[in-house]
Amino acid sequence: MTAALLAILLAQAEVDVVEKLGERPADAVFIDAQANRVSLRQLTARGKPVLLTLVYFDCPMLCSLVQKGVIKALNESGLRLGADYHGLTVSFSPRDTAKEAQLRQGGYLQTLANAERAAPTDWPFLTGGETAIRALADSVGFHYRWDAESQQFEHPAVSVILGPDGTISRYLYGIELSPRDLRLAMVEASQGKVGTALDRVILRCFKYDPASRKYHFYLMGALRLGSGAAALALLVMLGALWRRELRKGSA
Amino acid sequence: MRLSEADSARLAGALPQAPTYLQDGTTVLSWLNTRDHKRVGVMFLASVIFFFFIGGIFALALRMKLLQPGPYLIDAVSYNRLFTLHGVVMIFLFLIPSIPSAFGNFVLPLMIGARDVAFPRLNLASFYLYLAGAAITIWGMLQGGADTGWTFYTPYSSTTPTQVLPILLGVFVVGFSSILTGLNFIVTVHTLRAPGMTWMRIPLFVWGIYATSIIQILATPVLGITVLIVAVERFAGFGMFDPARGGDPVLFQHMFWFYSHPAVYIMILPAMGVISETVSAFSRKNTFGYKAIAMSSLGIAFVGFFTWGHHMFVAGQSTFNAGAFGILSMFVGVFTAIKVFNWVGTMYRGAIAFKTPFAYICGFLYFIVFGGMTGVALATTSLDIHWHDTYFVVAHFHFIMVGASVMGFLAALHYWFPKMFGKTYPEGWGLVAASLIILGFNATFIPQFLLGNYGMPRRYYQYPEHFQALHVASTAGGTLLGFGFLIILIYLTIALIWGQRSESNPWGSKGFEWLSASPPPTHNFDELPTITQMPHDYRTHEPPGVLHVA
Repeated sequence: MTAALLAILLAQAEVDVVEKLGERPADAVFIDAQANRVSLRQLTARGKPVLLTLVYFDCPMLCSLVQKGVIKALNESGLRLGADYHGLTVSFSPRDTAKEAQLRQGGYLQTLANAERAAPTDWPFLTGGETAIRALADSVGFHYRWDAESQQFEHPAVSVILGPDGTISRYLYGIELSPRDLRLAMVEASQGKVGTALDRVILRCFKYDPASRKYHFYLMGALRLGSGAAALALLVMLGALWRRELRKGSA
Repeated sequence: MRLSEADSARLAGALPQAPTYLQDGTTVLSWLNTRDHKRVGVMFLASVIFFFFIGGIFALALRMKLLQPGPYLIDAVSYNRLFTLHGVVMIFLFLIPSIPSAFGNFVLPLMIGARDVAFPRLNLASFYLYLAGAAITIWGMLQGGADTGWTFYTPYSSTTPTQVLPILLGVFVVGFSSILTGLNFIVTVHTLRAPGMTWMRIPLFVWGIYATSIIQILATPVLGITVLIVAVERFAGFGMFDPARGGDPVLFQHMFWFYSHPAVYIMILPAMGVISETVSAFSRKNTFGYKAIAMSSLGIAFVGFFTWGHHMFVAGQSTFNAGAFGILSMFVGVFTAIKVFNWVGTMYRGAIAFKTPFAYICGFLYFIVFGGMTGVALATTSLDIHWHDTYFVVAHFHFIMVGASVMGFLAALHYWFPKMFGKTYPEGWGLVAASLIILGFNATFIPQFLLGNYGMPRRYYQYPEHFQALHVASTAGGTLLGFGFLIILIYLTIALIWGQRSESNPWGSKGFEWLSASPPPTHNFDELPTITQMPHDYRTHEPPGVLHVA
């Protein structure tokens, strides 16, 4: 009984995400939807944040939910593919082919809003061999396993945000992503290069909480902003008063 | 310095006096609905004196209990409530509004040759906000009061079953009064100065109030949001400061002290301003080092914003932060020392008139030096670890906040009493009370320095029996102090009603506020005076009682 429980726990422990913030995904070679060999490094360090999702194409449930959740959040976030960020979807099943990748790419990107000017190369869908997949999964801390009984992969539902230089910046979990969290994660990953000035202001009032794995209201940031604004208001008032006196010559 | 012909003639007694601000409407409504800065000042003065006595009664009750270790007179919970209410009343309802709102309102426009403050309605609103805040606080006290200490440290203040909410709300509302008064003074000083009053001719009391106003505007909102968050945490269960709800109690300490340390300078800078004025008037000598005193006020206001961490040396602060906060705190000592040397320099070879205000100047100098030095010692991290949360800290801040600030308040009260009410107080009784207070104060708090050094923690109901002698000494001193204040209350009340009419400028002071009649008419001056020299210019010799009107 105990052994069985332990086995279940071990099996559970295998499917998980071990966050590797600040590290780079492995530079492995994959096949894109047009059946070209591509290097992962070129597709991750692209000068803009990259939204990386690991799925497999004949997945009966979770993967399509993850992919649809990501696209729904992206549509609501107002972020533009190609202009603000790049996408990258990699299949972790060695049995998936470039043809399937092309099919999925066409399907998903059709539903993506704000992507009129984007090309398929802005969001490649990749497949690859066992070694390349393992290297990538290990380097981003994505732990999955093959369940022989159900003939399915067991895997976590996670999206990884990479910075403009390809380093891992943030993990967003679940199938229902909050558009606000997604936008904040992109602004954060790009160090303010993506998004508006307001986004950067909002990012000061929200901080990623590793415990709940979400962005939460950050009191200290809001206070810093508020007190900064108050100090600025006082300075403006004093400046105006001094200027008036110096002009009148009564100081 | 020139006054209009009509003002000069009135002061010289050639023309009948215009009705004073006290005679211009005598109904209760005429006071409650006034826009006159002097009446607002007097109403503030009456209120802060009332709360000073309430806070004083709490203090005496605490001292009486501490005559004996263990249960005596009051139970432990009442004791906790009493020291909380003593702190809240004394700090938020007395010390912070005492000099700026009461005397600042009365003399600041007179000093700069203005007819009123820039926003007279806002000024009255500020008084009513203060009253509203005070009323909410008193209501909270009558409901049972809080037992958190005036610092409202979380998580205890988020969870205690006592009435913290109304007290927090009261403090929040009083804060607005403080902000509005500060705003009003800054605009008044900038826009309503008499012709010829350049920044280097502004009386030093006005410099002190100006620096204080900046602190009030910048720091008070932080206190407001802090107590509001604690209130919301209690009321709605938000987890901002309570670790059980995911909050950070140290964040509370940062935010609280970001206001409450500069608040000490809200209390002390105006008192320093009073001393700068009176030390010249009673030494009959020009202010020594005018610029140094004025700039050191701004220096204290500025540095005061970067010292709050010295309250948190034992709250898990990094060694670097503790060192930085310690050194920055010591800068306040440097600025204070600049002032002290200049005041002593002003007295040096002056023709000192040892009147009651001068007795308080001496008391102030002693308390600020002794209290300031223990402050520098406490800013030294290694020493603070030993003294933290002991009676040593209690004695230190009472030396500064009560010793020095109250000395300034009492010097102002006696110095400006003839100005405000046109009456003379009995000088003999004034000196008796001053001696009692200075003596009583030392007798109260020197034993507390010793107790703290021996390890007696603050706010404790119980203490080891071998501390009893020092506690009894402290209570005896407190009683002496209480008598001193009672004597002042009695003779000032008598002087106010039956006192002799005083001359227009009984001290022969050359402070600008004495340019108007005492008590001043409603609009202070017929025509605004023209300022051609520094305040307190005693180089021309005139007998006391004659105004320096050209």
